[in-house]
Amino acid sequence: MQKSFHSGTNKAIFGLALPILFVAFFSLSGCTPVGQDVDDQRQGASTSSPEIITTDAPKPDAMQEAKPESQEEAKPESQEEAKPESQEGTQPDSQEEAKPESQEENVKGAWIPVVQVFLTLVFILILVWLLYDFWKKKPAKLAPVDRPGNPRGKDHLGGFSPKSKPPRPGGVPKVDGLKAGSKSPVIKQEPEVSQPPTVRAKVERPVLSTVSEGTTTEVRLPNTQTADDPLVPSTPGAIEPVLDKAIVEVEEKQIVQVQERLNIKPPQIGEPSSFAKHDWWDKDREWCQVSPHGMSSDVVCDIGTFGAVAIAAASLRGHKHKVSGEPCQDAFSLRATQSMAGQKYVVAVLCDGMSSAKHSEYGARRTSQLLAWSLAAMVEDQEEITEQRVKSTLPEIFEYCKQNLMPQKRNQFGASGILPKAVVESDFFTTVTFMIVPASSGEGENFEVIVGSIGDSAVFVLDNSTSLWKEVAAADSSSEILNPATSAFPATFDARISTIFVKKSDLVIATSDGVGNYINVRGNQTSLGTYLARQWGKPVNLPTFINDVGFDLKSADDDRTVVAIWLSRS
Amino acid sequence: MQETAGNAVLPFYILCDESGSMDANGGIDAVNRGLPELHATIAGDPLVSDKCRIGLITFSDIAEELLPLSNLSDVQAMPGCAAKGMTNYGEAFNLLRVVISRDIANMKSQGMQVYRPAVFFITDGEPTDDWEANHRALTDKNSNPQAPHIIAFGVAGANAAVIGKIGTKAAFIANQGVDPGNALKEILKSLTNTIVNSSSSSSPTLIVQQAPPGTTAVPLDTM
Repeated sequence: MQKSFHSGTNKAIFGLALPILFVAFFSLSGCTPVGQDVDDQRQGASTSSPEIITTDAPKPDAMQEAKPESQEEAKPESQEEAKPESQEGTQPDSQEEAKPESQEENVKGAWIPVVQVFLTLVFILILVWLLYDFWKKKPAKLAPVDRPGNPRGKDHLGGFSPKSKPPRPGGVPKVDGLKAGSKSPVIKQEPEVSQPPTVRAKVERPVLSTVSEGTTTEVRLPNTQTADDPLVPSTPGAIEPVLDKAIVEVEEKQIVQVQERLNIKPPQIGEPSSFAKHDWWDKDREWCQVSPHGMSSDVVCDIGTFGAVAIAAASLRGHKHKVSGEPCQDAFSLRATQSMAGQKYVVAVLCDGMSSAKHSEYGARRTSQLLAWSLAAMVEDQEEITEQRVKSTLPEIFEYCKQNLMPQKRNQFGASGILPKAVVESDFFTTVTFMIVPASSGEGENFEVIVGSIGDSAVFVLDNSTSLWKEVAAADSSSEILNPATSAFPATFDARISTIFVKKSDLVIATSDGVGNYINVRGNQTSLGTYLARQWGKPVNLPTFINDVGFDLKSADDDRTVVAIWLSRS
Repeated sequence: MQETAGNAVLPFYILCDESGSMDANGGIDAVNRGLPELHATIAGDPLVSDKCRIGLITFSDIAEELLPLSNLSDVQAMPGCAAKGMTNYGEAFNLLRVVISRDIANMKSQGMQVYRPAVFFITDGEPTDDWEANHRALTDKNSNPQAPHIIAFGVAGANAAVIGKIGTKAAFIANQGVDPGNALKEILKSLTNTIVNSSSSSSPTLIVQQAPPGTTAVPLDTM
């Protein structure tokens, strides 16, 4: 029964037939519908037959009196009794008797077009409704409900009942038993019903937008991302819905990292120093103060390559000067140059300002710059660089540096707080250590490095085959008791010049005593020396190099500078 | 945890007289008040406490090592002195030589770099024994490469000439009429400043302070 009831064809036929029958009935019978108002009838009659109304118009009183008759009594006569009489040709005897008949006929004539219009409108409405219904339910009417192979649990619209299995995501749930190539419209609708990615994406979108903003911030955290961390998209718009879950996980992981705060700490060599036990910003300790003269120079660093060599250099302000609010008194300067013969050289100068000197930070920095520039100029003017050539030229170079060391006016060369007329030469005392390292690529395995020094800054060579440091130029540390005395530039030009022979696989470093004093002790390599040998067997990136130079070792509170030159980049 | 290889250490020894006379003139009280202040000052300075070690030896009839060479940041409280007996310098120098030799060997075995020790000698009287041989054994660098620098202080009945012989780096004698307790108070302050200034320098160097208030520098006797 449902099938026939829902059949649109039958409904259309039924709907079309009904108004036709109504129209035919009312057109032919001329009956007034039950309950039609007399006034309405009269009004309709006046519009259709004005003459009749004017001629036979009753008086108001008569009309009022005749009203009941015309509606209640005369009506049966007109339909059942008076009709035969009129057909028989009999005329009414009096006006009062004939009046109802003539009025009844006039009313009938006036009602016909009104009813027709009404019925026409009804017909049109029904027709429109049927057409709409037919269009809307067109697929449903084709549903193969009782076809062989219709899956159990599937309703007549091709959907899935609650008991049926959920559709497989991303694909059309194939109907069991449906013949291949079947073009059922019901099947075509199924993908729209079973598209979980679309629904899930809409649900999780707010999370996505939040995550994208959060992760963009988190990725910028310094040193929180390791090689094992998943990549995090930095552009919010690049996030795709399918990545929702993974991105949420990334966000949670990085939030954990933020809570734990990855704070890089320098390598700990043995027992922690007093400084390592407290944060430098500890409110109860003034152990790390900015220099009032500026240029505290907590970290100064350079890295780079030239020819066959790789170079890393860093100066770090020591705890001693952090406590006193003084700037770092170490300095270095690098120059890449080339001889007249086309041989490449790296000139490295390291200076350690004397603590007793009033402006040693300036003296060290200015001396390193002047000396590096002068030595590079010397190299450029020579065909071949030899120890003897350096020895013969160095006094002149030192003299030039001395003459240009002191500032001639305030704030010259960054001499902050120095009054030129109020300083003396000893205010700028500094140690000096320099290296002239060949940098040209060659077939040879051995190289000659010229080193020179005034004071206690040392030069070491790391033999990578043994991981041992060899001190090649420094104050003698083999005595029973340490001797802190050291000479200084420009008080003396008496530099120790020597040539050291190194292998291609070696590393040469110049250090200030803040580092050099702790690599070898009485000819024995210390824990720090072993650590640095392991770390610096090959070039390291800059943050690693700086962190290594910043090692924590009890009593090692002086400024630290290391200029490292790897003779081979491979 | 074992000390780190490569640590640089500047050892200081306080050689303090606790003979019976130190009680009568208030010297013991002054020392016992000054030592906690020294402890607090050094332990609270990371530059100093990480670099210096302090030992305390007292002497009277005999010498005693009250505080072995220590990092004061690891020391809870300083031991106190108690007056008793005579004033035997020789016992103190003899024990000190042994202790220094032991301590340096110990520190070197841990890979430390050791600067030459410094000794603060404090007394209120003349010696009651034959001390010079032991002193020579301690300070002669030819026979004892680990010979320490000695800064000598004398108050009350101390003999200036003897103090001048004991000191190898500096010697100070309290002025006439100065209360021994007050003089020792100033001496301990000077002693603390010497430790702090010497340890704070980038390359630890013994930096002797000027004569403490109420004292006068004594010319060193060149033997």
